[in-house]
Amino acid sequence: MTPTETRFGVGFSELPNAFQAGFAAGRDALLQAGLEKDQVQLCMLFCTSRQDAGEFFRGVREAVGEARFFGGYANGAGNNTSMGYDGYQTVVGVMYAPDVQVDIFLQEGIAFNEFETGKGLARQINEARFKGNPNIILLFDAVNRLEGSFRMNYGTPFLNGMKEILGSWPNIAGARMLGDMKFKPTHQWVNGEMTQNSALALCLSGNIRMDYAVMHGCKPASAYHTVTATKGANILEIDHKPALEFVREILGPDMKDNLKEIKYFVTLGRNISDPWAEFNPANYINRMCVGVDTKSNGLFMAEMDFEPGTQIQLMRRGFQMDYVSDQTTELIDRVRNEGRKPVFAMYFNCAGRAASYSDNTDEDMRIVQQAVGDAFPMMGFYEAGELAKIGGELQVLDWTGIFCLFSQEASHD
Amino acid sequence: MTEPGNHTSTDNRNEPLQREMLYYKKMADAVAGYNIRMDSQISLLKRGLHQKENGFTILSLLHGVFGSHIQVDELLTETLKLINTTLKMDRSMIAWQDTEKQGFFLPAQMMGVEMLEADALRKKSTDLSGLFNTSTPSLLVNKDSPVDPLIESIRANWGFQYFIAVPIRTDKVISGWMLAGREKEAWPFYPPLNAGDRDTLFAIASFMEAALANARLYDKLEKANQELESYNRELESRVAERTRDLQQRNQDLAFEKKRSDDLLLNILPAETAEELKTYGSSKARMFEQATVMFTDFVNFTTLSSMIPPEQLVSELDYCFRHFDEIITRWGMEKIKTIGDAHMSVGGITGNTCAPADVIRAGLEIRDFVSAYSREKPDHLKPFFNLRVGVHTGIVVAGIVGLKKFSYDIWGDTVNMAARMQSSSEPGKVNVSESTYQLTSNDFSFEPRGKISAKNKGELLMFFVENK
Repeated sequence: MTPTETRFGVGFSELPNAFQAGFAAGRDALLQAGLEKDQVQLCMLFCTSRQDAGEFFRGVREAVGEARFFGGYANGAGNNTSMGYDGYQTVVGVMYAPDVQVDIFLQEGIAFNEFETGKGLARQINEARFKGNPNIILLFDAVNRLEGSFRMNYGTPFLNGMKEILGSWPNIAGARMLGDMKFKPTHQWVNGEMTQNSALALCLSGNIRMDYAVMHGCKPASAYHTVTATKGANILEIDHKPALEFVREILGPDMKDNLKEIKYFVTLGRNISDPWAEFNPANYINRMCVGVDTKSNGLFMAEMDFEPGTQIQLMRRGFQMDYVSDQTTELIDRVRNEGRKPVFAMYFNCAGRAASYSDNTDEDMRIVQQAVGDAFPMMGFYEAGELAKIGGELQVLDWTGIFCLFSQEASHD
Repeated sequence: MTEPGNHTSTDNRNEPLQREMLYYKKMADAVAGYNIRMDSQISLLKRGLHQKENGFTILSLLHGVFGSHIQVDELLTETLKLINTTLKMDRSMIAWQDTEKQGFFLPAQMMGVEMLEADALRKKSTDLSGLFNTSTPSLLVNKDSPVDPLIESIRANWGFQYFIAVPIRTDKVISGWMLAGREKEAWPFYPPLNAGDRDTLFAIASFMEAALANARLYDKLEKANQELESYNRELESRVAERTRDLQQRNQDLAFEKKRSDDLLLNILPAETAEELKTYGSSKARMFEQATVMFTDFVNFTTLSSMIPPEQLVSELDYCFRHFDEIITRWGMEKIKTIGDAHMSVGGITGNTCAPADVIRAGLEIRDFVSAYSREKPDHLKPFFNLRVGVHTGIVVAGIVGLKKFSYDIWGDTVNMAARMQSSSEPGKVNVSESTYQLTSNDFSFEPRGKISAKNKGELLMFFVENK
C-alpha cells in the first residue's frame, strides 16, 4: 500500500562484493524507511572506488526497484551508526515524500569545460518549475583524467558558470566527488544512468527545507598578507615575494626544504568580512595547498579563486572537534524550535581531514553521528571539497564539513 | 577594505603605531610558523604511531578472524580484505608454490582484483627464486627502489606497482608469498611503503602461518572426528541390528516360553507349574476338600468294535475337548483320561471351585454328550451316553518322578469317586454322601439309598439334577 506520509531510510554496507553491498544497503534502507520495493521516490547512493560501479548500481536497483537515482563515488561513507573510508563502504538512502517534488538534473562534460558545464546545469534548473524555492544538493566530479594524468576539476569556473545563469544562489550545498585519495576515475548515477565527468543537481521542493551548518576546521594563525601574483590556481607571489619563499620564511628552517610537509600544512584563508572583527569561521574561505611549483616557487591551491590583491592569512588546522558537536546540535535545535520535523540529514566531509589521513585522533563524522543519535536517518560522505554559501556566494570549501538537515513543517505530517 | 599590511605612510604622527603594528605582525607570523612547525612535528609522530596502530589493529582483527574462520580459503581471503582496508593497499595476493616448477609461484587468493583479471592471474606462474637468497627473504618496492628484473617481472605478471612481498612458511619451509601493494604513492594519504609496513606484513604472515598450522591440525582433527563419527554410526548401526536380532530372539524366546508355559499349564496346575519352574521340583500337597469327578461312556468297548479306531479316537478327542473346556470354565483341573474315562478334580488349585461347581460341570458334560448323541445315527446313539460320579474328600495332589511329569491325585477319595461313577446310570450324575452334604441346598437330589460298591461296602448315593 502506498504510504501517506514521508518515509526515509538509510542502509550501509561494507561487503567487498559490489552487487551484494548494493543489495544489502538498499534492502536495509527500505527496511528502515518501511517502504516496499518500487515504492521509492528518490534513491541516493554512494560507494568508494573499491566497488565496481556497475555492479553496485545493479545491486541497489535489485533491492529498491524502480526509483529516481542520484549519487556517485565517495571516498568513504556512513549512516547513523557506521562509518569508514578507503574501504568498501557504501551507503544508500531512500525517500518517499508525497508532498515533496523531486527533480534531478545532469550536465556532463565538466572535464572539458567547467564554465559551460555550470551554465548548462544552471539552465536546466532555471527552466524547471518547482513547488516554491528549491533546496539543491549539487555534486560534481573532482577527477579529471582526460589527459591521462590527474588534474582536479576546480569548482570556481563551474560555479561562476552557474552563477552567470542563476543570477543569485538558491538554497544550495554539496560536494566535489572522489572515490579514493589516489583520484581514480569516478562514476555518477543519475536517474537510470551511470555516467562520468558530470555535474548533477538534486532539487527538492514543496514541503521540505534544507538548513546547513559549515564545520570549518581552520583558524587564522598569521597576520594578513596580500596575494600579489597568480596564474590560475598557482599563487606565484605573496607580498611581492615568491610564494614558496614567503611560506619558507614563516615556517622556518626545519620545514623550508620539506616540500611534502609544506604542501600538506599550508592552508590559506580569506576573510570576506571586517578583517579586524572577532574571528568568525563563517566568514572565511580556506584553501588547501595541493602542490608546490618549484620552477616558479609558487603554491598550487585547491581552487583558483585567490586573485592578486586578495588578503590572506596562514591558517592552522584545528584538531579540537567540540565545535562540530555544538554546531550540529544548534542547527537541529533551531530547526525543531521552528516547529519543523527533521526528515533526514547529509554530512559532506572533507576526506583530507579524516583521522588516518590528517593524523588526527578524532573523526568529525563520528561526532556528528553522536550528536544526531537515532533522531532521524543520516547519510555521510567523504569528498574532495565541500560546497556551501559564504557571504551569500556558493564556494568550494576545503578542510570542512557541511551538515545538511532536511525538515518538513510538522503540520504536514 | 583597507590593506592592513600597508605601512608605507610617511605620516610621522602614525610612525609609533605603524612600528607597533609591524612588531605584532612579525610576532604573529613567527607564532604561526612555530605552531605550524609543531603541528608538522606532531603529525610526523602521529603518522608513525598510526602506522603501528594500523599494524596492531589488523593483527587484533586477524586474531578475531583466525579464531572464527577455520576454513583456510575463507581465512586467507578475509585476511587480504583486512590488509587492503586497514593498511590502505589496493591489491593483495597469496601465491603458492607451483607444483610443476621449482621456485615458481601461482596466485590463489586475491583481493582488489577484478574477477576476470583474477582468473587470468591464477595461470601466471612467476619465478620468485631470486627472493630466497637472503636470510630474511622479503621484497619492499617503492618509488625509490632501483630497477630490478624480479620487480619488473612481478609488476608485469601480477599487476603490482609499489608493493611488499613476505614469505609464508609451512614447517619452516617457504610454501607461499603474501604480496600487498598500492597503485601509486600519494603523500600524505598513501605515503611510500617503508620498513614499518614490511614489519606489519611480516607479523601478519607469522600469524597466518600459525593459523594455517591450526587449520591443518583442525583438518586432521576434523578427519579423525569424521572417521570416529563414521565408526560410531557403523557401531550404532551394528548395535541397532544386534538389538533387533536380540529383540527378535527375545520375542521368539518369549513365544517359546509361552508355548512351554502353556504346555506346562496344560498338564499341571499353575501353582505347581510355577513351583516346578522355580525349584525344579514340586511337593505333593494334601487338600481337605477336593471334589473328584469321573465320567465314562456306556458300552464303549462295544463301540470300539463298531467303528474304525481313527474314528473312535476322533470321537473321544472331540468329546474330551469339550469336557476340558467345561471343567476349565468351572475352575476344575483335569487329571487324566483312562481309555474312555475322564478324571478331573475341583478344589485343589488356586481357583475357587466348590463341590457345587463340580456337579454343575458334571451336569453340563452329561447334557453335552446327550445333545451330541442326537446328532449320531440311531445305531450309534446308545453309545453316546455317559455315567458321571462325584465324591468329595481328602486327596494328595502333586507330581512324582523325574521324567514325563504327570500331575495326579491320590487317596481314597479317588476310589470313592470312581465307585460313584461305576455305580451311576447312563445319563445320570451320581454323587456320594459327602458331596451331597456340601451341596444339598443347591440342587435337586434323588436319594438312591445305600448301594453296594466294590471293596467299599454299602454307600449312600444320590442322583443329582439342576433345580
